[in-house]
Amino acid sequence: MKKIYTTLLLIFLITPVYNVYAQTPAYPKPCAPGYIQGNVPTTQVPDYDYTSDGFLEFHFRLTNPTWKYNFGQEKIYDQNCNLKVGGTGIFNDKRASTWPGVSHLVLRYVDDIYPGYPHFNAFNGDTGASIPLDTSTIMGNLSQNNVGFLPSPSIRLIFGNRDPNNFSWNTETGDLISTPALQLKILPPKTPVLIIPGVLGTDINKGTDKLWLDLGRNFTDIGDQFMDPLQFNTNLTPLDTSLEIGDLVKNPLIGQHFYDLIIQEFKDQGYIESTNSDANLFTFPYDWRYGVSGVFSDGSTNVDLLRQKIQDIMTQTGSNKVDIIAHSTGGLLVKKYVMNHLSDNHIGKAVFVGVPNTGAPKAIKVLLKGDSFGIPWLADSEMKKIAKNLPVIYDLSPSQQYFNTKGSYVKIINQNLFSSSSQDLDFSQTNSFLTNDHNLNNQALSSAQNLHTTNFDNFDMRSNGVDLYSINGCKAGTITKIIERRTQKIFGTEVSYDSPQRSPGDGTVPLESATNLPIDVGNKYYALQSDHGKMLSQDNVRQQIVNIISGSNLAVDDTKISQDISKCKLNGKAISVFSPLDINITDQDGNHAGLVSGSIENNIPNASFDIMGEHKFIYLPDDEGQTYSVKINGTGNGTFTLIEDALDNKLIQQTQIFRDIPVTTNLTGQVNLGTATTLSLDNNGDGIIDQTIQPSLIIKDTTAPEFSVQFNPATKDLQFTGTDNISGPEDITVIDNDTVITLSDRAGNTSQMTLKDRNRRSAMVAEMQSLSYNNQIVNVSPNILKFSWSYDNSGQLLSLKQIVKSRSNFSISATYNGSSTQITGQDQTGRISKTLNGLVLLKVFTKMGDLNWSY
Amino acid sequence: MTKKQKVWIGIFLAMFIMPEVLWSPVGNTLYSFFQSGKIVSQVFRSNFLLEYRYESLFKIIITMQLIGIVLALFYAIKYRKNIRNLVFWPFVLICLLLAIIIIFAFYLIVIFSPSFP
Repeated sequence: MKKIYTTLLLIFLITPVYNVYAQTPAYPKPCAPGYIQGNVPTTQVPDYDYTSDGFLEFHFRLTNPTWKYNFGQEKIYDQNCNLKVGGTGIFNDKRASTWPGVSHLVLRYVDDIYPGYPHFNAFNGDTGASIPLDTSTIMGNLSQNNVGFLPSPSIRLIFGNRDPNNFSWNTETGDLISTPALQLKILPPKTPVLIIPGVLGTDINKGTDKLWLDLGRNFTDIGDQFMDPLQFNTNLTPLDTSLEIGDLVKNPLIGQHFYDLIIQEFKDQGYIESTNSDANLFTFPYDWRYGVSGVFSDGSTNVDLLRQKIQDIMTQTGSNKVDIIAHSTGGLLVKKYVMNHLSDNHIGKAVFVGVPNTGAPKAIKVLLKGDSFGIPWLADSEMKKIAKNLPVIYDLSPSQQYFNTKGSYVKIINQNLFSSSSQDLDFSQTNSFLTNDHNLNNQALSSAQNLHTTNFDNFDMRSNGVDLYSINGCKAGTITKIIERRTQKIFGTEVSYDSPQRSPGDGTVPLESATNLPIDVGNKYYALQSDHGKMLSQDNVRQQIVNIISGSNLAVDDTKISQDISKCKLNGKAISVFSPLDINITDQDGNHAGLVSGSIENNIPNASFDIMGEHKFIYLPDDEGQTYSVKINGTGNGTFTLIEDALDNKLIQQTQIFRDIPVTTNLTGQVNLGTATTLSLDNNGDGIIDQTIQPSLIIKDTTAPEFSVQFNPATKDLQFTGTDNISGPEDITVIDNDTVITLSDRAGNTSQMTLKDRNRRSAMVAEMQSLSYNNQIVNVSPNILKFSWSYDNSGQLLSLKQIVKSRSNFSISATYNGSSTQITGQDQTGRISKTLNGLVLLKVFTKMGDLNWSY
Repeated sequence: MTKKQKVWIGIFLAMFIMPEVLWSPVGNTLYSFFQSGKIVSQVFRSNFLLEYRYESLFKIIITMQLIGIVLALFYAIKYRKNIRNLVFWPFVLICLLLAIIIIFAFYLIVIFSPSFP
């Protein structure tokens, strides 16, 4: 028994010693033993620590807030622990202050305002809030540069909390503590940082009501009409002029982080958000509805407000530069601001995160169909109504530059009972599509296009002193083309939407748009997992931003952030479901994508889930070994079609089609994804699989598309379309660069026709020179394909000559003289010579280098 | 009910009640949801679980609360014969109500993921 007591006593004695030893920080070894005078009550002892990046902090537990606390005396040692200076005190010994309401005072030793003159910043250790040190008081000296002892290998500080009116460092005992000699890390001064959010990133209030974002009211208000005041009139003025701007949308719900974590990450690095001169962290809430091109009633714009904000920051902090973090639309604001202030923009570093430099086709989707932004109880129709006249939505629509580099982003398929035709709209046709076909705002569209000039879209901010960086999401399926299907019915035309084309991006902004930015290669970063709206607070993106701005060295997972664009591939499965069928997907980590309460929920990283009309379109990445459980269930009676495309670097390598499968409301089942995908169906919902279905059709496409060429009197130009063995005409992209016309099918096969080198639109002559399929040039001799035409001053077609000669022994010439068309030549049927009234247009098809024709 | 049955139902109820008494995860979630429209929002009960670094734990606790209340409900229904009607129906109704509330909180915390363009 005695042994047991002895053992317990030993454990009791050793444990605190061990704990003290274990908790001793592994910081510089002290030059001198700890210096404690008298018995210090443990509740009053200040302690010291280093933050993760080397700040020295002193922590005071102020058990009696009314006490007056003395601060400091330093002793400076050299490398060999010889005392160099000491004993006089940093603050002339007898300085004191009270700290009402603060129970945990933190003093942080920094060098952030006057380089070379370190001082202390004060914080409330419980809340992280900065505590202003009024320079008119004695304690204000703490924040001044008079704490300017020279940087030294090691410094020992002594603190206490005795009565300053009756105190001596030399004789006083009790309530004093000294540190060991400490290595002090002096960080360079911090340039103020300004965070500029994107569209929907700022609260908008009406009186005491929040119109955006109020999740609770969205939930309780069916239809969300309470948001109506957010609308603009057709003349681009706000419907309700009493709305006010709130704060950034930070953390609207537990677990939802938009801009709060990036702010906190900066604070963790010692940045201060306050109204004092020591502040170096700022945000720019603004009325996102105006975007960049919108004009307030006083004639100013958001760009003007940004300029004022930067001026205010410089005045407040005394800094001559401001670092910028711009998210989404915020980047367009910054670019316009720099263009307006080439030499006096005062921007140091700028980090662009997910900025749609040339626009994003998702804006077109919002204008046409609305969007609930992942909030199941937010009505798409309300957002569509609000979006209709908002300048920002048009600013985010693809620009001419987007069209020039990426091609058409709207396709129309006209389908009647017996045939269908498709058209990739060019830029001006798309404008007409939006303003005429869909009655959208012509003025807003014009303003946006005046903004997105070639100069703006290609503007190089580096030449104006901006140290530019970008972080762009690049592996999420992102809409790049909207496909509208117009089906002729007996009682009119039904408009629906096919599966949109997708490319790599962040789920909203295509990579091509985000990277349309002159920038040093070493300053480009790619987020391999991204959610556009939350990118600033997203793990790894957030740390990367802070590292760029502050020079910190926070850990960033290189499997999530890369500088290698070759990792930005869209590899996976694209699934199109044509109703009546619901689809729910769960990945290997339990993340879900599907419909919840009638709205889209998508928590699968880098996946996309879109609904256009009644059809559902899903993209699921699979290049990191992801596996998915895909469940389906019938929502009506009839048949359904499910198409699964295997994508390799966004190109369709294989298509598997399950066509016209009978469905009832009792049907449940599973899609077994793979190189040979199958459907397991339980027809009656009894939990037993009744049948396993193989695809109706499996298609692998390695054949390049063929050209179809016809003169178009309306556009006074040739019109090129494509046909393919697998892809429908609507799936073939046409890029017409005047003398070189390229067709691409959805598997990435390309065909290219080169015309003789002259501008056919002004010369009004076009003649085929060469033809290639998948970069293999074919011999076109002796084939001839030649068109020439002329117009009078009133725009009437005067003449059109169409000549087609094929190696398979036909030669046709069709000459229109303004009133009739004479067709002469010969083909397999013999000689042809006839004159037809009016204009007859030949339609010429290529076929493996040869030509064919019809009219 | 036998003592064993009472103990089990007590354990299931405790799976919900204990975390709620200690940190109010469900209360905080719902309060935060309906506070999102406030210009100056407040926290229902501030505690460590609301910190970003404990969000995974928050999700686990809410899941545990949901499992607890659902199991309590099923357990009560399973041994309905052993419970007096005067106790059974109020108990079931309260559990059902709590289950609906917790399912909504669970949805908000574990599944809900809005994203702006």
